[in-house]
Amino acid sequence: MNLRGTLPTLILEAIERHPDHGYSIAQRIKERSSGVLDFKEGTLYPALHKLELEGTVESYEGVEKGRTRRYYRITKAGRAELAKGRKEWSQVSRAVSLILKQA
Amino acid sequence: MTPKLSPLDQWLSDATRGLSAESAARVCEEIQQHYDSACEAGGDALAALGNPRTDNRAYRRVLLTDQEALLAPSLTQPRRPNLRRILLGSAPLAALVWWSSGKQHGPGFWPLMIAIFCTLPLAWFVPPTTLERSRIHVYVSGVRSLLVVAIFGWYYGWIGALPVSAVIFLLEYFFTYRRLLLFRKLAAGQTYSLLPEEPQLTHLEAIYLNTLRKGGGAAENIPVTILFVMLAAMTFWMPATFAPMAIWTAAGYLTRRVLPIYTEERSRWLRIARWSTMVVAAVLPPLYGARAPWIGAFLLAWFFLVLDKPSISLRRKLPVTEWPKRLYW
Repeated sequence: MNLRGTLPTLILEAIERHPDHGYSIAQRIKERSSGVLDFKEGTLYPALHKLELEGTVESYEGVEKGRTRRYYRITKAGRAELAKGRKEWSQVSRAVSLILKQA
Repeated sequence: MTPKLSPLDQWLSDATRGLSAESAARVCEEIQQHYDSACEAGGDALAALGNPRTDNRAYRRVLLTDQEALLAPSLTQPRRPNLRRILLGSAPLAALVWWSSGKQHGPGFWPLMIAIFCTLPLAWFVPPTTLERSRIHVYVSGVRSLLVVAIFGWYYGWIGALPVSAVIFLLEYFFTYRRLLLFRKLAAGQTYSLLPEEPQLTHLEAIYLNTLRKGGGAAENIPVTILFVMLAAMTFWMPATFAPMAIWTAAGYLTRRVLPIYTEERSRWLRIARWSTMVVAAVLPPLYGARAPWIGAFLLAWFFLVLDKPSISLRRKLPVTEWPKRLYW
């Protein structure tokens, strides 16, 4: 399942606590959604680059188990964007639930 | 013999097509790291990467392309006003004023025209060489475009304003919005080092040469049936305005397929013939008083001249042996 438009918020949520690399971000989103949200990796990286372009994440090179990796960390603007994304999602999901319950 | 690429290399080659060297290196590095981790975890790591062509479109939107990398150095430097460029840039405006002066207008027409002209020298005072300045240009040119469309719509009908707005917003997209996108990519720390292979070429010429070498160019990828139906419909609609463009395009399209034009001498005669058609069609009729319908033909001729400008300088700077086929016509 892949909900259009939710990926940027999910990425920001995944790296809110600590910086991470692309593979781990993808795995974390998949695990936390019990395998429901499975974004293709080719979709994940352009989304990460877009967030970097918008200034909501920053990237840097780090080393994990002797292997160089590119890590992404959330910026101040990213935290504000995440808060906005959470609020919007909460409103949308509540509205959709109301409609579906009525049906 | 070309060595066979591994499936991952093939995926990377498709996904990074058209990206700058730095952008492609970054994508390859990240995807390789991701692929290694996915292989260690088990499963079909390659299938999980998705469709490389779809991803290529997504990468081009967020990472510097090879053409943007070539364009970047010239956009980040202020350009000195140059008489030839000013004359070329003012030609359509002069034509517009000349056309307007022969007609009766409502009271708001000239103040609106003056407002449009006041925004034109903005680039001299505030050169769009940074992200912030580029944003100012996007807003100003957006307002200017709306004013031009409003003038056409208000005084000459909204149906007539449709093609005008389509052309204006298309130009704004290419020249203003794409520049803004490039500055956004540079502001995010993306770098470039691609320089023209031929030192005598400007960056714009190098971009155009790259496109021509890859088989691109104006109207090059439009299927022939669509092209001719489109030209026939436009010529039928406004023969005085669109006939020169139809002759120009059809002549170029047919001659390069039918006639052996690929020598310097024949190519020169072909170009002389085509330009003469365009110039005669665009310049002579207004002298006999047919002012209004021919303004479109004049603007089209100007547009073709601007489009052909890089080809003209490439022909001068490159030896004939290095000309891509498109330069012969």
